[in-house]
Amino acid sequence: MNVAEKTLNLNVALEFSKTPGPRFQTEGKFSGEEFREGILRKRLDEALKEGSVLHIDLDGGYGYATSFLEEAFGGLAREYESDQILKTLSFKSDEEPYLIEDIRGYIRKARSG
Amino acid sequence: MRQDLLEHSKQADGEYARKLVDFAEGNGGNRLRLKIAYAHLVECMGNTHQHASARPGEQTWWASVFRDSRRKCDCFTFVDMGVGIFNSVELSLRLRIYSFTGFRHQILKRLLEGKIPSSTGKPYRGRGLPWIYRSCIDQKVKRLVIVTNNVFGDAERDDFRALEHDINGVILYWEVPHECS
Repeated sequence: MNVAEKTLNLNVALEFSKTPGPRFQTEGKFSGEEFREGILRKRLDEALKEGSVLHIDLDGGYGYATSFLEEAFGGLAREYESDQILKTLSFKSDEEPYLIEDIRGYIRKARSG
Repeated sequence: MRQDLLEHSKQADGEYARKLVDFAEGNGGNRLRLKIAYAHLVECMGNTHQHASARPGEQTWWASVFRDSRRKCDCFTFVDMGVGIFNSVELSLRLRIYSFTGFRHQILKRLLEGKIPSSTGKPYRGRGLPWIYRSCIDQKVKRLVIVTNNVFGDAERDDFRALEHDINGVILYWEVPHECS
């Protein structure tokens, strides 16, 4: 991340839920779809408009199902250009560092699998 | 001290997973290592909701955690009595023939390795079970065992075989050690 860029922050545990759920809203509460529709897309739009980086803190919750992360971030990349999202989002995951590369993979392969 | 906790529902709700993980942590489990268990539990709940019956949300799942104080680990079991993986995954014709000629255990392994596309037909789906499998290969969890229909698979021992009898649904079992081994 370029330190000169303006940064917006999103803390998933504080602003969404400490108990993230499944992929779709129809399956249960705090789904990846709900996170993307309710928070993530708005913040991304804001960051794109301002030319900022959106820094997402994944720590502090109970954990993330693969489907949640794929639907939230892969779902975003099915609406926007993957490169644009990868440039705009940065991640912090001290508790589960491997999640960052997983999420980047979901964004890169959002359409192709 | 209570040694186990059981939850059940038809929904994929992180609150149930939280209760199980909190119980394990309260009994000596490592919070960071238990995040994987939380993720697996929610993933399994979602699979039951989406794939265990012809119409989503019809099947109940049960999930438990057992504290094995002698072996210093938490043992998680997830069960649903739905149609089972081999009746929910849309297999290619070639694999379907394999399936009927007694090679289902090989198909299960390929599914876990992520080599068989999702039944949804969407290339970005079907990553849940491979991720659970990978967590065992990467030793984030231990002793991952899966039983579905007439197939048994032990990921840690790479032991996949056919069973004599068929069961309804899916059983997943894995262990989270209290400390790094």
